[in-house]
Amino acid sequence: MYARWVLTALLTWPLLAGLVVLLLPARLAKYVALGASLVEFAISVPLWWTFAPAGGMQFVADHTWIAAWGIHFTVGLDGISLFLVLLTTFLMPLSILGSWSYITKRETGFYTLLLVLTTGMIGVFVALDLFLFYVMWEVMLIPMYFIIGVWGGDNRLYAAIKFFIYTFFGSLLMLVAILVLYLHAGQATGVYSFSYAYLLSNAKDLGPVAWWLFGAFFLAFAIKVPMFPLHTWLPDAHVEAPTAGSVILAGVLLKMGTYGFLRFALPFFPAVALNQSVQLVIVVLSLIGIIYGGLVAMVQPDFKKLIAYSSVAHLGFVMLGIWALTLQSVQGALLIMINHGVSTGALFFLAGMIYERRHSRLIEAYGGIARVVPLFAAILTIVSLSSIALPGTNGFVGEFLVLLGSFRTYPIATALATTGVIVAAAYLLTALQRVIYNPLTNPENEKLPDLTPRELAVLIPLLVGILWVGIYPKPFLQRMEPAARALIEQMKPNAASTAGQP
Amino acid sequence: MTGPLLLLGVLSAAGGLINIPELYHGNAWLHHWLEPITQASTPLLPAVPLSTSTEWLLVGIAVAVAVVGIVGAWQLLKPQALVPARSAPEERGFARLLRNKWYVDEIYDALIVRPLVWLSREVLWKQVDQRAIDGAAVNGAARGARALGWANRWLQTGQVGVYVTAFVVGVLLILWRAMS
Repeated sequence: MYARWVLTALLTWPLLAGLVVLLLPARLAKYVALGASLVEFAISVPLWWTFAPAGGMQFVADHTWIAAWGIHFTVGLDGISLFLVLLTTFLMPLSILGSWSYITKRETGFYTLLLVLTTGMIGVFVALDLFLFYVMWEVMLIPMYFIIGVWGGDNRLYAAIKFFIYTFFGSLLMLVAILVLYLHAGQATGVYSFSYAYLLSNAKDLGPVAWWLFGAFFLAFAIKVPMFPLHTWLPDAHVEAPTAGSVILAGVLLKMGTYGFLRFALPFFPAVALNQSVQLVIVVLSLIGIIYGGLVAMVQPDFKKLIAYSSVAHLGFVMLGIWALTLQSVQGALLIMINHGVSTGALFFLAGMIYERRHSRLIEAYGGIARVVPLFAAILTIVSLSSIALPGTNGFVGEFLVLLGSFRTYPIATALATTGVIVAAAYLLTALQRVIYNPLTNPENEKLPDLTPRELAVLIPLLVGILWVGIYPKPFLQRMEPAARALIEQMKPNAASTAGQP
Repeated sequence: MTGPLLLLGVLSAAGGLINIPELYHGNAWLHHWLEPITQASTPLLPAVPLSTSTEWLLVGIAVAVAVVGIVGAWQLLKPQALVPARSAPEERGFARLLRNKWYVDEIYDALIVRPLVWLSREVLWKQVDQRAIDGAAVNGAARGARALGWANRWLQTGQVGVYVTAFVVGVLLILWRAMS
C-alpha cells in the first residue's frame, strides 16, 4: 500500500504545504514550513526499511499525463535514487530551521519557494519519464534563482542570473536531446513515448547521432556537477545564496549532475561514454577538478568560497568513481554524493551561523574563537575532519572506495587523485587554524555567543550522519550494491561476471 | 597536558581493544569494518597463522621498545635538572640545529608551501579561474551576446525609410540571385 502512494505523496505534499504557507500570515510561514518538511521527512523514512535492495525499480507509480504525446507521470526508486531522496527530505527541515533567524524579510515567499524546490528536487530523482524529468529539472531551477536573487548577499543578482543562464543553457540542450531520442524511438517503432525504460531500450542504432546526444546530456550534467572548466557559476552562487540556499545547492543540486550521468548519460550511450577519448577527457577533467579545485580553495580569503571550491574537488572524485565503473568505485561515488551533502551542508550551516554573529565571511576576520565559542569550534573541527576524509568519518569511506575501485581502471589518474586528499587537509586545516585557533586579536570576536539550542538541533543530526556512515557504512552500501552492479552490467555486459572480483 | 594525555591513553586502549590478539582469545572486529565491500578481496588475503610464540615475541618487543624509550628519556633528560624553556641557556652548534628540527619546516615551507600557495593564488585562481575562465570565457560570452545585440541595434531605428531601404535592397538581392 505504502509503496503505491509514497512517491506521489512526496511530490505533492510540499506543493500543498507551499500553498498553505502562501495563504497564512508571514509570521507563521516558518512554523508551517518546518512542520510540513518534517512530515515530508516522516513520509520518506519508511523507504529505508521497505526498500528491497535487489528489487530494481520499486515504489513505481504510473499515470497517463498527456496521452496524445505519450507523456506519463511515472516515478520510481532504485538504489541510486533512494539515498538522494532521503538526503533531500533530511536536509529540508534542517535548512528551514537553519533559516529561522537568517531570513527576516519576505518570509512567506522564501518558505514557499523552499517547499516548491523540494518537489522539484525529489521529482528529478524519481522521474521515470523523460518529459517529467525535464519539467522537474526546470521546476527546481526557478525557486533557486529567486532564493539567491532575493535573499542573497551583496552581489546576489549577478550570481543568480549567472546561475540561471548557465544551468538553463545546458538544460535546453538536454531538452533537444530528449526530443531527438523521443522522435528516433517513435519513428523506429511507431510508438511515441517519453518513458525511461522505453527510450532506453530504443536508444540503440543511433549511429553518429549518439555522439551529439551524449554531448548535449554531458553539457547539461557537467555544468550542474560542476566539472572544470564549467564551474565558475558555483563559487558565485554558493557565496551569494543565503545559508539554506547554499546548503541545498551543495547538498542536493550538485548531485543532480552526477545522478544524471548515472541514470541517463551512461546507460543511454554506453558506447560513447566508454570510448577511449571520452574516457580520457572525463578522467582528466575530474582530476583537474580534484587538484585544481583543492588548490584554489586553499587560497580563498572567503570561507564560503573555500567551501564552494572544495565542492568542485569532491565532485571530481564522484566523476572519477562513476567513470571507473567498478563496483567499489560506483558505490564510493554514490556514498560521496551523500557524504558531501551532509558534510558540506554542515560546513555551510556553520559558516552561516558565524556570519549571523559577525557579518563577515572572511577567514581573517576570525582567529582564536575556540575559547569564546567552544561548541562551535568543536563541531566545525569534526565537520572539517569529515570533509578531509579522516578515517572514522563518512568522507573516508566514500573516498577510500572511489580510490580503491578506480585504481583498477585508471591506475595513474587514481594515484594523482590521492594528492587531492592531501590538498583537502591543507586547505581545511589551515582554515580551521586561522578561524578557531591562532591568537584572538580582533576585540569584536571576544563576545561572540556560542551556538543556541536551535542551531545545535540543526547540526546534531548532521553529526550523527557523519559518524554513522563513517563507522558503520554497511546498511548504505548494501542498499546501493545491486543498483551499482546493474549499472556496470548494463555498461559492460562482458565484464559483468567479474564486476565484483578484482 | 595531563588531561589530554589521559584521554589519549584511554582512546589508545579502546583502539587496541577493537582487535585483541588471538593470544588473549580476542576478536578481530576491525577486519569486518568495510564489509561487504572487502568481500571480494578477503579470500585473496593470505591467512597467516601466527604461532603463540611469535605473538609473545611481538608483544615482548613492543613492551621492550616502550620501556627502553621511557628509561632512555629519563636518563637523557634528567627531569630533576630541567628548567623552564624561558630560563634555559640558548642552544649552540649542533644542539641549535636539533632545536630547530634540522630546519625541516623552514626548508619545506620555502620549497613546497610558498611556491604552491603562490601558484594557486596568482596563477590558478587569479589568472586561470578569474581572468581566463570566468572573465574571458563565461562573462566574455555574455559580453559577446550584448555586443551582438548592440551592433544590430541600428537596424531597429524606428524610421520607416530605413526599413523600406533594407526591404528594397533585399528584394533586389533576391531578384539578382534568381536572374543569374
